[in-house]
Amino acid sequence: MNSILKFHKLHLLLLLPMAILGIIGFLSLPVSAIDPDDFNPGRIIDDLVFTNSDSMTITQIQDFLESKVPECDTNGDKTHNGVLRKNYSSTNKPPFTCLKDYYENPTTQENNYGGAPKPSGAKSAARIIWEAGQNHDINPQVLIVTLQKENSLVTDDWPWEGQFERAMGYGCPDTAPCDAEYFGFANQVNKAAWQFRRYLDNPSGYNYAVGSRYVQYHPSSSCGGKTISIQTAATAALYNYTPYQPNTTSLNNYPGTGNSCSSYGNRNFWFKFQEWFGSTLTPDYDASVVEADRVVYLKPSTAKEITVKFRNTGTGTWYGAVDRPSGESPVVLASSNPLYSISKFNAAFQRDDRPAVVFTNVYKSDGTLECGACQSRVLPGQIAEYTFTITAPTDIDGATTYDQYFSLVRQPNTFIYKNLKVEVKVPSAQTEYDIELQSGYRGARPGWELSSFIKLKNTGNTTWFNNSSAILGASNSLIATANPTGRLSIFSELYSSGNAPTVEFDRVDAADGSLAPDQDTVLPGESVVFRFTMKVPESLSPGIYEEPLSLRFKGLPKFIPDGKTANIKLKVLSPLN
Amino acid sequence: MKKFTLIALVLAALGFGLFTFYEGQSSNVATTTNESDTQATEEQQDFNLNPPTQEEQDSGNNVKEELDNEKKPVQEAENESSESGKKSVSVTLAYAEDRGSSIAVSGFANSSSSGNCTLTLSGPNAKSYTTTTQAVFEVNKYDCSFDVSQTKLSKGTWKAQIQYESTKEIGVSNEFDFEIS
Repeated sequence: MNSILKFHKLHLLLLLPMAILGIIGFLSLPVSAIDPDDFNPGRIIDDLVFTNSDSMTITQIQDFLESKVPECDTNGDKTHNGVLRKNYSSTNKPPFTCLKDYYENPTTQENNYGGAPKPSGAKSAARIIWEAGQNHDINPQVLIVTLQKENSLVTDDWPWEGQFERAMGYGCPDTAPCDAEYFGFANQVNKAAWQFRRYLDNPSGYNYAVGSRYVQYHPSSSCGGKTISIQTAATAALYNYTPYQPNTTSLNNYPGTGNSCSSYGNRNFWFKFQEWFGSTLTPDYDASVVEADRVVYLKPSTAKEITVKFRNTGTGTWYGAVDRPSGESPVVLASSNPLYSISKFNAAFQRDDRPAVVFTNVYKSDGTLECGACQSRVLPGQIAEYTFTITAPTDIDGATTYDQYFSLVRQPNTFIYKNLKVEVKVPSAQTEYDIELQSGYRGARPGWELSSFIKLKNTGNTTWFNNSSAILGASNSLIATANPTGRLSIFSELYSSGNAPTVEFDRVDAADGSLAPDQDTVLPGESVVFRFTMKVPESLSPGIYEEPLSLRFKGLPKFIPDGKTANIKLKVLSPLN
Repeated sequence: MKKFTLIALVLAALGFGLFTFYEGQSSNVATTTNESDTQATEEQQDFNLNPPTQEEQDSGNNVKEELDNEKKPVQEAENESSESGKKSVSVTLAYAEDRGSSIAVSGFANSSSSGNCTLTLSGPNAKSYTTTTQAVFEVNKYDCSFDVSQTKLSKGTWKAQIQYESTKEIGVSNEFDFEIS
């Protein structure tokens, strides 16, 4: 009996937390679900969201389209209303081509619908959408949602050709068939994007603009409408395109139908945009990537500048770490994943965990450079450029790709853009050289100073740095004693140190033998002359001496390429009396 | 004791069910990224790459039905004949506002045939003003825009209304109040 009681109590102990967890989860449901009560007919979408043409790349659009049609029913093998799709319509026969697979030449309107071959000069639907967004400065997500709202092309796994012809509903009156003049997928997408831009740029030329406007609930005027306060030009553009607001029944029954006075266009736009791409309202801090060096090839001991440009798509102004108003947190580019991790490529970063804490350049929204005095802040819509140097340490493992993440952060930890990935591809390091020339066999007497040299050709794939020019994190090269390594030389009185004749380049030649433009680095294929003075000690006995020397890199005492030792020979004679 | 266990099981099932439901709902909602990234490895991407919902899959079927019916435009009351013998058309007056030296009025008719728009302004002390202009075709409707000099109107509250008439259709808009100060 006791054991049964314990068993039941154990049950409760295990199950009650699940119950509580579930109830808490349910209570917090409205936080993430889209609440129809949040629909504000005067502010369906904000201007910065509507015009964020950098929100997606072509690849991202393609990935998105593919996600929405995992499998195209090309042959119409599924059923609709109990009939095989292939037999459903006498005029719309398979093969069906889905949006994710669609290609069209925008000029000729030739396309691959219905199993036709991809025409010459054809572009994918993803590219057509992206280019229309770029050309007219409209968010491609707006165009994608409009494609869905008007003809369900995004998710349809057996679309008919007519859906492509009138894809955006452009030139389609509510009371008459669509105007064939505007038919064609690319034509529709371009015309709609162009029209949206016209609405934004010429607000006074159309029925709906920011201000008090009467908007009907339905094409039938008997359904009435309501005067609303339109707050954004983008919302006005939506009403100019589709001049109806949803009534309460329409909103409350999404995605289903409302009543005879319900309209769905702007309702569906608002819901679908959020379901697919997030809020239609501008957050305080948000960004899109305008441009980024996402793949960098970097040999060990080398460095490269990379550039990342972010557009400020939020409502807040970004300030760099310098020249910012008091109380404002700076916006910085930080290593991330996790945030503020220490990058192995950070030798030239402005902070160990932050490549850059000030903007390299600030551009206006149209891409032109901002004024000199405005370079420390980025207003909404403007573009911040960070150009910084990533450095591959000499001892980095080669033949490896490193994923380096950067985040745009408003300090201390508000992500503005999270985890931009840059692939740093490091080939295997091959530090090799040939001895091209060296001082010959010479005679000398005690006390003599002999000008000597070694000329080495860089036959590997790494860059050598002069002592005074080595980048942070890279080792400078030098000539050092060999056999054994670090041997104290008897000729070292005028050397840089007892075991290193010189740490400076005397001359760097390009591969063609001419003077190299950069005398502080030796690129693969170039040659370098090391010049130094051997001092014969006064007390040195006559005889034949050898000074084996080789290339070394500071901080890496064990690194000596095999078999590449310059052996400078001297015949020391008796001193002259 | 059995009752005790039963209650616990029911509570757990209810809770777990609700939690699962909640999780399912939230997974369809794109999230913002202002959160710790200690777990994340993916670049910021506010896109919902989930497979289509049933509703999204079905939505294309409705479009196909509309395509099949395209030659039969959907329009209820407006397409019925009016007393004049012309078909009734929906007319919307979007705004009328005082812009200082003039009053701007704009609306549109859901018409597919060219016609004229007549604006009637009714003001204080039974004053009125009427003007007519030709409608301008704009993509898929006929727009009616007016710019009335303010000198023709007195201060106070006015009502605006437009009528659209073509050879085939006729309709009257809603009224729109505006103030001249």
